[in-house]
Amino acid sequence: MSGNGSLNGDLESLQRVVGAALASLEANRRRIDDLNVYPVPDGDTGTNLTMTMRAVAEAVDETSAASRQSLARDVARGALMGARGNSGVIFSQIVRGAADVLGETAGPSSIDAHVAAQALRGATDAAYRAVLGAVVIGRLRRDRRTCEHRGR
Amino acid sequence: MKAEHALSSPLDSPLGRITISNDAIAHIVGETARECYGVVGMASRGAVGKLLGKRERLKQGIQIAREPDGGVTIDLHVVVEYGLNLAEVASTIRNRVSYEAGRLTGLPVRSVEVHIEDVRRSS
Repeated sequence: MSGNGSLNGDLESLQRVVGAALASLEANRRRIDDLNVYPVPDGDTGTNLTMTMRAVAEAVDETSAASRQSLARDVARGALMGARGNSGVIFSQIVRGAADVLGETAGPSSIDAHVAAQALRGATDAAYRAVLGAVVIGRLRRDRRTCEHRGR
Repeated sequence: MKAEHALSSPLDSPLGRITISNDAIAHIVGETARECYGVVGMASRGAVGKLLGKRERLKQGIQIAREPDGGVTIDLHVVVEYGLNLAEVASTIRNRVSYEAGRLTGLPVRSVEVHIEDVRRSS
């Protein structure tokens, strides 16, 4: 399958998902702003997340993608370009990780629970990739030391 | 007048002065930068970087300068994960480093210059 037909209502589904997410963020923006204490307590996490999500929504509105793969690419790109603040950058990685997995699927009913779980896994992996190796390696070394101690 | 002076600089007192070295500030900056999302390394200076001990590595890619009045200017050179919005990552580094260095030293941070020296694709 190729051309517009291959989207099979993907765009409409995505618009609903993104629209609902944006509406929820907009409704809770202030509350999230008030929670924000990290990394700098400037209270803009909710606003940053909302602006990033809005960029994703715009990308979905403006896309001319004809396949699921290019739709996923447009969504990831919208999140990357529109990322605002620390939370927005992390969120853009989460979106990209999920989009990479979902873009590889095809067919109207191919996104089942298993694929959704894989997409979430891809999202976490992508988010963790940008965390400095040294921090993680340090933790792993500590874990290994603990294992070695226990093994003795 | 004297009380006002003491208030504006908690490091000066009739009992003596407290000084904070550039190395101490550089360590704070290094620790903070490493914790920033998107930072996957500090720019190394070739083979020399590999020969440095752990303490020296923490200051790698960081320059600290002081103004006559105690104000601090910070330059840091980082490597960022490929595929991230570099402007936003750099802006977060700048805000966090300025906030942490100011909070932990009590010194006025005049400028934080973030240089993205490279991007890297982690696996």
